Formats: sequence, structure tokens, C-alpha cells
Amino acid sequence: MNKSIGDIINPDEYFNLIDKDFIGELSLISSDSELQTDFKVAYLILFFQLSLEEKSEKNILLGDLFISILTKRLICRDRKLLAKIMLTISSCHCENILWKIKCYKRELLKAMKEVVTGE
Amino acid sequence: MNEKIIIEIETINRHILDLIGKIEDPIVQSETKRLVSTGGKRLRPLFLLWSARASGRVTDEIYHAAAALELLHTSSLIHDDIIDQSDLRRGAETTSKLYGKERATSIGTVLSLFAIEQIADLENDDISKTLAETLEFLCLGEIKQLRERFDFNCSCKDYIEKISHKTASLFALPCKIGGILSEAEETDTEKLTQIGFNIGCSFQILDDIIDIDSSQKVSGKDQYQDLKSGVITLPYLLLMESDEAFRERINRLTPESAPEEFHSITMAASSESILEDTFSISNHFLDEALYILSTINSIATREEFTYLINKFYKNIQGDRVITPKF
Repeated sequence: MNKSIGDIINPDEYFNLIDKDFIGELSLISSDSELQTDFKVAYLILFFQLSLEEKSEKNILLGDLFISILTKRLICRDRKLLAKIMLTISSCHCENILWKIKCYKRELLKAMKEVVTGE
Repeated sequence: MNEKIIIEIETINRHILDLIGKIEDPIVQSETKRLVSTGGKRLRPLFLLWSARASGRVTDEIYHAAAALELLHTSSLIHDDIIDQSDLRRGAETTSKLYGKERATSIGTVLSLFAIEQIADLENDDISKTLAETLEFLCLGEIKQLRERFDFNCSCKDYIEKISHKTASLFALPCKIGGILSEAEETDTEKLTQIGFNIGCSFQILDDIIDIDSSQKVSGKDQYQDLKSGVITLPYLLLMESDEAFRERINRLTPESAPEEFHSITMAASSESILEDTFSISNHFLDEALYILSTINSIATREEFTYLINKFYKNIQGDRVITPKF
């Protein structure tokens, strides 16, 4: 059970898929790289699972993989933050279930601002 | 079924329903309720309870964790069915069949996040780490399987590694959580984890047999779904090892191959001798589980796991009864 994600895919390869604008917005908010990475992982979950037009099976699994990575990163370090990010991801998915609305950048950014400002 | 287990499952089901009631999204809540009501053996919650019983009493917290694990399992089935393009599960329509692929993905993810949060709320770092590692292990296994679809150059050893990722890890997890929650000795928790792992391997092999050997009516799933999805399982591998012509034939399969070819190949792999060999390998894992079980002190835990293991043996060889090693 010792295989790491690096044995099968390079996460950097997928981080590169994040929109540059979004990264720019994140970097304006905080210089805390851990927090940025947590939200980048959340972004990737939504990016993969709400973009199912092509290669949907792979996207579902990549989304699930990033859920496991997010869990691994935060479950011991900061459960409150994990709950906050998971709630945001769930809300975006619920919008998709009910209305087929697939927006998530603004929601993630809002959640991150709330974390940074302590709201 | 053993009366004690029936009562235990009823209690588990009550806890599962209570937990489902806490899901906020009405669609995710009703769909989860529907899926859970279609059946299921509740093996993972049972494993957690039986493992916890090895060292102490079963508290409400343990039932809560058991229910959360069942929901985590249910969420993984929703995504599995999308990936496998299955329309049926336990004889009922799958979530993707009812809601479409995109909404089913979201339903599965919301449920999975809900279940993970329930386990995180136990605020136990050992359990949290175990859960996170298992989830990662499971996903890596699924991605590997997806990447290797219709690549049939696989050995039996590769196959065992694959099922240890995708199935056995999710059987080992409840045993480990049960051991941790009941504050069992570390060595006992490791033994319980190994018991879950070995039963998980056997369970997957039996599932492979059902996939090729029973009618859809019996299994509640589409038949030979594995091969149609480009996934090779143990019966096929065993025949490939002994029959070069069969190996060449299966290596020519593509997603576009005629349904008759899939059917014919499956018929060849479901011959009596191949199934017997497959059952033997499943038995090997059950023997190993029984052996480790015999070193566990708790009589209740030994009896409960042994009962289940014997059911698996009986499923395999009719009236064969295995004498527990205690």
C-alpha cells in the first residue's frame, strides 16, 4: 500500500491545467502556498468532474483521485478547512444536479476569501 | 441467514437511514435511500462491527462509522456504474441510467464527500490517515484499470495486485477502523485488517465468477460486464495460461468486437475445470483469513467472521463445511 500518486501520474501535469487567471486571483489573496494548493486541488476536483464531455470516465476518476488527495492533505492538518472546502465542492455539484449549472471558480474564490479573512 | 446477523443488519440499516436523513441535498438523499433499499450485503459495516467486538463493546460511534462506510461504498458504486456503463445494479436501475452520466457523477461525489466528512468527524488521526490512504489506493487502482482496458497482457500476479487495490483495500479498511475505534492492540488491529483484506480478495474472485457464470436475473447485474468493459478477470487469465490459442483470441478483442465473440470467449472461460481452479484460489484467501482468525482471542469475532467465510465456501462447493481452526 506504499504507492504514491507520483508512481502513476504527475500531479504537476494536472495543476498546469488550472486557468492562469484563476491562479492569478488566488495569488492576490494569499501567499500561503499550502492554502493555495488546497484550493487548487478543490478546483481540479470540480474541473474534472464538471467537464464530462470528453473522456468522462477518466475525468470522474481523476476527480475522485483529487478528492483523496484533498482528504489526505487536510484530514489531520485542518479538519475545519477540509469541511469548508468540501461544502463548497458539494454546493457546486448540487447546482449541477438541480440546474445543470457548472460554475465553480467564483464559489471557490469566495470560499477562499472567507478562509483568509476569517469570515 | 444467521438470526444474530439479521438483527445486526437491521440495526445497521437503521443507522444508515438515520445518516441518509442528514444529507442536505434532497435528490442525493432520495437517490441514496433508493440505492440502499435495493439490497446489498452490508459486509463492510458488518466487518467494522465484528472487528470492534474483538476488543470491546460496540458503541453508537462504531455504528455511525459503519453506516458512513456503507455510504462511501455506495458512492463508489455510483461512479463505477458510470465508468462501466452499467444500467443495472442489484436488479435495479443505476443512478446513471436514471439521472444521466453528468448528474450521476455529481450525486456520487456529493455522497462521497458526505461520507468522508462523517468519518473525519470522528476526530481520530489514525482513522483519518487510514481512510485517506485507502481512498488514494482505491483511485490509483481504478485509474490503472481504466488505462489498461483491452490490454490483456496481464499475469495472475498483476491481477491479484489489481484486486488488492480496487476491492480488498475497501474490505481491510472497516476492519482497521473497527480495531482502532475499539482500542484493540496494534497487532490485533493488523490481524483484523489482514482478515478483511483476504476476504476482500476472495469476494472479488467470487464476483468475477458470478460475472461470467450466472444469469443477469441471479446476479442483478449485466452479464460478463467485465470483459465487455475490457477488464480481464481470473477465469480468463487461468485459461490464457494453459491455452495459447485462447490467449491469442482474447488478445484480438476490441471494444468493437462482435457481441457473439465476447459471449463465446466467456463461455470458454466458464468451463467447469476453469471455474474449479478459480474457486481454489478464492479458497486460498479464505483459508488464510481463517488461519489469522484462529489467532484472535475474541470468540464472538471468530464466530462471526467464520460464519461468513463458511458461507463463501459453501457458495463455492455446495455442502463443503470447513471446520474452524479454534
